[in-house]
Amino acid sequence: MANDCRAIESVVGAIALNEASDAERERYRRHLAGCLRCVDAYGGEREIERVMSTVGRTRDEETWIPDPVSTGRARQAERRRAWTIGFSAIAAAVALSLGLHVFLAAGLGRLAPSPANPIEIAYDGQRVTIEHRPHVAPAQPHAVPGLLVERTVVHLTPPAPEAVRAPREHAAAPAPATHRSEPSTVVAVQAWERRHPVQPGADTSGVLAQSAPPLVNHAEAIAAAPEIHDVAPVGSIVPHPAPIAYAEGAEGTTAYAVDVDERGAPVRCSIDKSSGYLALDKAVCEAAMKAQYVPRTVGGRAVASTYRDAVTFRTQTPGN
Amino acid sequence: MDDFFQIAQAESAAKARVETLVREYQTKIARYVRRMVGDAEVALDLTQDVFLAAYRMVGRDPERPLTPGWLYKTATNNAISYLRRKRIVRMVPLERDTDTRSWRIDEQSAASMDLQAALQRLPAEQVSALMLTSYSGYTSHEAAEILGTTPDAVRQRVCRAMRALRAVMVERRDG
Repeated sequence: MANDCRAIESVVGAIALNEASDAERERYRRHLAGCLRCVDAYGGEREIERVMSTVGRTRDEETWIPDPVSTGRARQAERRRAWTIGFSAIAAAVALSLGLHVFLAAGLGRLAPSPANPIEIAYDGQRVTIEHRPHVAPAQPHAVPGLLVERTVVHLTPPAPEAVRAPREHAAAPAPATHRSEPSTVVAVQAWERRHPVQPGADTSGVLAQSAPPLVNHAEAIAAAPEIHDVAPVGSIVPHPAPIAYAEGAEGTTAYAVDVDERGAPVRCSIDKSSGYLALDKAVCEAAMKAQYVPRTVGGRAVASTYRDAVTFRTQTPGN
Repeated sequence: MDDFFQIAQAESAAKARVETLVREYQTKIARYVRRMVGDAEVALDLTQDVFLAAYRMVGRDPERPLTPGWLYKTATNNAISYLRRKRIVRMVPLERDTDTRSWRIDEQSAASMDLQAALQRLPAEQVSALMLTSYSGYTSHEAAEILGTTPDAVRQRVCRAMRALRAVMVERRDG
């Protein structure tokens, strides 16, 4: 009987699929007459057709109209976009890393200033361009007992009048005689103010950016025009501040300018930026006026010019 | 040069044939796969794979005939593979989602729910036999060709599937 039931399954399947022949249907009827188990499991032919109609009804009721191709394309586009973004980010990171390596390998990333990349800083309300000039600096900083002198080149952009402040020592100096004794510092700043008047209420930063005279960049000038040789001092300019400066622990950078005539003689010294201590500024100008200069030459002809430099004073602590 | 044009024309004609099939069968295949796996989103993915495989096959061999039976065969294989993976991952007998709130409107009719409940109890081979024949309209001979078996085996599988479906309907009626 079990074998009969197993064999009758394909007949039931044929009836379910409406593929059964009359002979097969007759065979199934005969089997059902003697097999209650199959009656319970499958029912009669009408029952089989009723159950199977469920499948057809389900199919006919469906309303889902998918668009797998468009959906797939959209998903592919999303994946592609995600990959593109990922690859772009990685490529940018790699490029940045390579650029940084090249930058550092070329020595352009040095923080120390050089003629190729002078550092611009805002200092005390003024914009200052600083560059190291190793060919000018002495082999060893000139050591005044108790005071370390460093040589740097400081180019000052013209400060706005309100940005120009009297050095601290000027403001705090109680005796007017002190000012009278050092007229050159004050006069130099005032003279610049007269040359570059600024309208009241004008944007100081804009004036700074637009009306600033071009900076004297010796290295660039030499490279661009080989026939021009800029003014340079003969030997080192060594300031000797008054001993009181040591006692006060005076520190700061004095930026100065020396007008040099065509013979190489200093004509006038002015302080472009005070260190804040008259003693230091005075010593710088005295040393600058004592020095001799190789005048600026243009096409082999000497011309009057201005030599600009700066000296930084630092208190040297014992043991350093 | 003539060969080149002939090959290009053959490829173009083959792709056009695939696109025609896609337009005609994408809904049928997707619905078929949805019933097989019980999940519309999964069905979309699997159906997309079917047509992608069709494009690739035509790209490799433009002369190879591409029939609806091939699409159903690929879809069936994809669905069976998915169901087997799902069973392996879960390590428990497959229980399709019975939370009817997430079902589409056309999945919430009594007939649809009965059918889906019965299908989830059946082996994938019986599901595919039932769905290829009474759902997709293939004869037992055609379904046997698609499934790589004999017509008698298909009828036998349909018989067992029908018995499971009837049991579900009786259960619902009784209780």
